[in-house]
Amino acid sequence: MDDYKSFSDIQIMNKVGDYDSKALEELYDRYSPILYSLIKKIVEDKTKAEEVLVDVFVIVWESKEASNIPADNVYTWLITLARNKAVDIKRRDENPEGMPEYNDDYEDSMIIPKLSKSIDPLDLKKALSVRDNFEEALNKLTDAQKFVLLLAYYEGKTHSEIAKQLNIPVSTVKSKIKLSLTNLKQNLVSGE
Amino acid sequence: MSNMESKELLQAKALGCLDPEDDAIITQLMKEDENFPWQELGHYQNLIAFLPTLFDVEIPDPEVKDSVARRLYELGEKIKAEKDGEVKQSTITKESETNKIVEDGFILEEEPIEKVEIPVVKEYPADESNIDGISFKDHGVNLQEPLMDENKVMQESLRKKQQEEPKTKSTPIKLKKEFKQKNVESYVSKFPDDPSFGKSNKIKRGLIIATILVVVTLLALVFVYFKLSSDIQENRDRIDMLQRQIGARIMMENFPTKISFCT
Repeated sequence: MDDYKSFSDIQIMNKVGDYDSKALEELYDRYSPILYSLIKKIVEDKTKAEEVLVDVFVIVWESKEASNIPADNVYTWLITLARNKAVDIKRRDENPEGMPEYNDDYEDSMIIPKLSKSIDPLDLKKALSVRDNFEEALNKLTDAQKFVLLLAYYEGKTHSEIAKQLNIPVSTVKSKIKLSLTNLKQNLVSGE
Repeated sequence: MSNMESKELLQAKALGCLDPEDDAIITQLMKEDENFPWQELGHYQNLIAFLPTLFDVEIPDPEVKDSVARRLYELGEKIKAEKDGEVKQSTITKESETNKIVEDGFILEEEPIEKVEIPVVKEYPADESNIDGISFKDHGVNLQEPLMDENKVMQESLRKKQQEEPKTKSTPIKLKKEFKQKNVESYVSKFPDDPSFGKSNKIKRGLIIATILVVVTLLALVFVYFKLSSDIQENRDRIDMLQRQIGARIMMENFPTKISFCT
């Protein structure tokens, strides 16, 4: 197990691709706290969050995409996977009839992340190291910008759903989200 | 949608909040547009992934790790069961193939047994030609006349059928044999006085036999090749499945008492 601790995320992921259970265990040890915290924030229930976390690692074990993550960016892939899965569970609980059937195709297209081909490398350590700067950058956004951002990310609401909830035009929501992320990016770059 | 317009939706794509119609458009662009701003999309994907770092980190209960291990074990078992099912199915298929009749090295397909339905001969009561005031005699039906012995008719029709149709489809093979025999005889009859004919005929026969042997060997090689390929594939699948099972077992046996959070 000591050897695995020295492995990079992408090395671990490649071993998981070869069905190495010790590698999956190492990945679990590294990432389960942050993934669990994110999932719990979204589903707002301890038992459900635990179930989703289990589902996430089963997807990692089964997915062929897992061993094909671009640019050594296991962090973003796992965070996005956990977010997508948690949001899907939340939406199914809220509106069981309104959701499509959950099958392999659905999982492949809607749950498993498709990262950009040109994404920069990022791991947990690096992500945690910019935490303070990121918090500062986020706090510079207006309340409205933060609100739509959080509604979209944690609630899993789409443009039109946010528009309906806030009773504002969809175009306004689109521009708010665009602006909030553009500003967040600029604030982060200027703060570094 | 232009490249400019697609840029408008990049942030929302990274955030995962696009409506299905917009998502379909941008997914299409990702597949087709050579100038798709991948770099920018990547930046936003990473930016959004920073959000969970803001939480106070919670460590899941150790039982969750057990659950992961259990699920992986169950998954392995399920795959094993599916594989076993597939193997049984293929065995049954092979057995049914071997049920074909092999005659003179030729595989003859067994003819499906035709079921001849024998109609039930109803026994009519002696004097029921007038039931509820309706006379069958009035309609040209005489129940008192002895009905034709239907069993006899059936036997006759079966006998005719057997005469008409041979039991197996061996006729084409017989014809083929006869045809070959006739060819040789006609060939021989063309050269009755040629002293060298016997010799060349032997050579020809030898050549034919050699050709047949080569063809048979080639066919055997092809068969062996496909058989080995399928065996290798099957073994690969088994190894894959065993890896999953072993992996799951190892995980179950190695539950750690502590879960550390990498910082």
